[in-house]
Amino acid sequence: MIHQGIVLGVAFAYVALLFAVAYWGDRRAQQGRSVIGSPVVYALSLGVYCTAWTFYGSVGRAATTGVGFLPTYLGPTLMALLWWVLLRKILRVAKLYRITSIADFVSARYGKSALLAGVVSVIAVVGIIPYISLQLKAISTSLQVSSGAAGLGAAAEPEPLFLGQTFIVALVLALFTILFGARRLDPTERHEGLVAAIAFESVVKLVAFVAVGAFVTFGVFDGFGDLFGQAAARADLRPLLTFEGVGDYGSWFALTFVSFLAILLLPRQFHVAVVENVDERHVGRAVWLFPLYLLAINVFVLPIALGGRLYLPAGVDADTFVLTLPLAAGQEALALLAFVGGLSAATGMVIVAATALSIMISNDLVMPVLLRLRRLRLTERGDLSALLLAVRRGAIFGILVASYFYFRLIGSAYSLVSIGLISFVAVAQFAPAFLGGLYWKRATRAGALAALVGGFAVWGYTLPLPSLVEAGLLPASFAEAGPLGIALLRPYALFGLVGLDPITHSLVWSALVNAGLFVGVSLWTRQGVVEHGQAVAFVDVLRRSGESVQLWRGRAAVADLRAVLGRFLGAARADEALVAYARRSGEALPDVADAALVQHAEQLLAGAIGAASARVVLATAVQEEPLSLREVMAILDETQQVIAYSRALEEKSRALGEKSAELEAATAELRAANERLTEFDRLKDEFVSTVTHELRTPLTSVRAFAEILHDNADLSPEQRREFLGIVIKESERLTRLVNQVLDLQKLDSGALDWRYEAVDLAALVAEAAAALGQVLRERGIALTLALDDGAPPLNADRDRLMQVLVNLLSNASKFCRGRIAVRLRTEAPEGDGATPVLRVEVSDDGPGIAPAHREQVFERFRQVEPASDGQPGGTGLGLAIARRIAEHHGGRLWVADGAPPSGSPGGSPEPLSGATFVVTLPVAPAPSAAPTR
Amino acid sequence: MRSQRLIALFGLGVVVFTYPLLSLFSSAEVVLGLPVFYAYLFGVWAGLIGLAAWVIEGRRPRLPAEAERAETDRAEAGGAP
Repeated sequence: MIHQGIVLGVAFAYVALLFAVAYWGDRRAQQGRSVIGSPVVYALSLGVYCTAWTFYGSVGRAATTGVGFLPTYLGPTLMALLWWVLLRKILRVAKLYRITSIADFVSARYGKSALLAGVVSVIAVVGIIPYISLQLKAISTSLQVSSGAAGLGAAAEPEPLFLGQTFIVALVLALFTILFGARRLDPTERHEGLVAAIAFESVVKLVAFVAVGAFVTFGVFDGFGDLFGQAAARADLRPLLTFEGVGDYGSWFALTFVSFLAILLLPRQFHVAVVENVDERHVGRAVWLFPLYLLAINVFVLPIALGGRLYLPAGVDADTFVLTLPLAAGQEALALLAFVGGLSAATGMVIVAATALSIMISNDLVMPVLLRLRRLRLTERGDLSALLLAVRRGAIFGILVASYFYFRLIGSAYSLVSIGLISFVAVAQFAPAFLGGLYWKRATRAGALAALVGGFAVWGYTLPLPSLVEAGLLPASFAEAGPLGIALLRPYALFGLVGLDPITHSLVWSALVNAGLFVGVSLWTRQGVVEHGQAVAFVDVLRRSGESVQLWRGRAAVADLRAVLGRFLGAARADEALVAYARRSGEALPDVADAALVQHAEQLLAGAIGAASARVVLATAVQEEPLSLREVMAILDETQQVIAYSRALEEKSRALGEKSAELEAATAELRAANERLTEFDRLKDEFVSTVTHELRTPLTSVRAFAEILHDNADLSPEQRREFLGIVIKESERLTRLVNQVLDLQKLDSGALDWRYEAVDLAALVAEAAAALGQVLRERGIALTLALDDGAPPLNADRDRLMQVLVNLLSNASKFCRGRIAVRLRTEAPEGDGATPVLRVEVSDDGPGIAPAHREQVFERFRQVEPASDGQPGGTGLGLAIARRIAEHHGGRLWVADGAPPSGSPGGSPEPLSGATFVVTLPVAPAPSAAPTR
Repeated sequence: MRSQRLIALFGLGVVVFTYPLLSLFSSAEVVLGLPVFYAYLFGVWAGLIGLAAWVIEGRRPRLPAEAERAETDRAEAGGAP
């Protein structure tokens, strides 16, 4: 028996020590030399899993079932092996969305649903209160046992309801929890001092327990062999050495399974493992270090239990063996150490659990409701951080008071382990929604909600409710015969499932209902826009390495954001955060926030008040434009859009390429046409210059002679007559030239008026000869006509043909020496479908035309040689016009060779030795008698 | 690779700690002063822990934070979920 004063003194001293460690941890964190940067500290902090249940309750269970306590620690070992994959994924998501509690996590996954957050919080609080109450029970019992107030075997004396020992313990614990976990608000919910203290107390309880165990095994007995040997010798203890003590493989498996889930889903475990985690890599060390811790603390459980059974008198509560054994053996110091260890285990659990639950209550239960109550108009209030803190502290206080009353109600009737297992099954209800949400994108909010509510209801009906029977609040018939006598609804044997212990029974039914509703309802409901985005982000977080989908569109003034952040984080911290963001993005803060900034602000807020509340608060500060599902799909498929866009661009540029090729071809054509036009232009210029030159020559003569006549009055009449004659002749020449130019132009442009009629070519030749008869007689030229008879009539323009003949004869007369011969013949048609051709030859005995010049004479303004008789030459256009006229009629005009073929029938006379001009004219001109050049 | 090995260890653990093998070793026979069952449970437990420690810590050189994270991410993406 230790004096109560000493016990209490030691208790307070220890708590003070814990405080000191926490304070030191916080100071180091502020200095930047964090103590919790070590993976060992992280792994040790997870040891908060071992509570008074482990310290006292395991021994109690082992004393009756042997290794029946072990599944509670084998389950977590198995989960630890999966942590490497599972916990790291959870940590990624948690960092991404600033998750502060398990309710936050579930709510964030299912579209930041405030309802879901609230449901999870309620389940957590209701489920964990029994667990906290068992810690209270353990502390109070250990106090009584240590100080001997209870006596070794007697039950604790009844306490008053208020201000009894346990009540004070509860209040003190509430105070400590507030001091450890709710001193101020931190957006990240990091409590470095708290983690340091928890890691410290994990060491303390391990050391204490191992010390007691070592003492019992090697002090009281002579080692393991002796201890187990003695136990094996006793018939009532032998079963404890084998599975026989446990008895039920089903319940062994159920306990392993439920503990497997609990290590992940218990709020306090989630808090230290996820929320307080500083480095993802710490998980690696924890995967094996934590199970090693569990193994170490459990090695001596069975030995202590057997030792207690062997050494202590019957009737001592086995839950207290850890204390009573050293006490009975006279080791008071050791007993005090054991007491401290037990106290450590209990307070550690209470502080962390109450902190975690208070975060949930404030962020996910109270604040969303308060924010929505328009009456309070909270969103317009200045600084809400004080309110938040007050809610947290109130929650802690309320939790502990509730736990106290639960303890008073139920605690005495149940063993520690039984109470603890009730909590385990409660938190196991989170498993489908939590784990399913991490790996199944199709899981919907409705599915999660149905699962949680259904599972919770079944749990409530099968575990805590019937426990009220033991407390005397419900009639015994409720448990035995079912409500209203309905046997199928017996809480311990629902629907006739008998033969299972209550824990296993509850687990089976709640798991069935929970998982069934989760899968079934998820498959039959659809996800909203935000929910789908969150689902993808959660399930794919390891693949996406940290990007978060921006599913927000709207406008927000940065000033508004600053105000909102300031309200919950404090003005200084809000400014700090915005400045840090601006620095990170490399630009100054804009006036209007973009989606990234708003999302960042939402995350910061979520760290302080939970994701669901953050959304509500932000919605009042910014104008959000809701996205339709189509738009979200568009955002999520942005990559595909970009690909499609670039493909469209490729198409356009290709089409453009084709068009430009066409353009080039057209340009080439235009260029060619332009060159031709330029050429024609040049030719035209040449022609104009030649014509004007030709016109000038006679004009000059006319002017000259006219001036002479004008100036010289004393000219003789003969001279006068001569000069006037020249003027007349030159004028005529001019007129002729102009007429010819006009003719030529008309011929070329096709504007000439042709008048066709039947023409007797022979008669025409004779007529032409007659017209020139005077000239010929004056010059003494002899003209010979050899005209064939029977020449068919020609369809031609009479006057033009006359013009040709006259021109030819006139030329001949200018160049001959005295004789001109004209011959007309009819030639047989050549080729198919042709008509007979009339051939006129005009030859003279002049110098002739050299072969090189024979084509040149037909060019415009060409005169080969000056006239032989000194007369002024022709215009140079006559032959050009004559050729055109001939060609218009489908014929030809050319200068024949010197020796034209003879041998025509009829014995026509030979052409003369000078130039011979030949004109051939078909009888019927070709259909297309278009003028040619 | 690490995650696959650990998941395999998990499977092993489930097998070793449930009915069939469990009942096999459920005897009070004494070995090394310890009952077989007790020795089995704690021995296997320690063995699992040791194997896990070996898989995690291994003989790999320490990588800087980001590179290690990226490397395990690549392993995850290609390997087990």
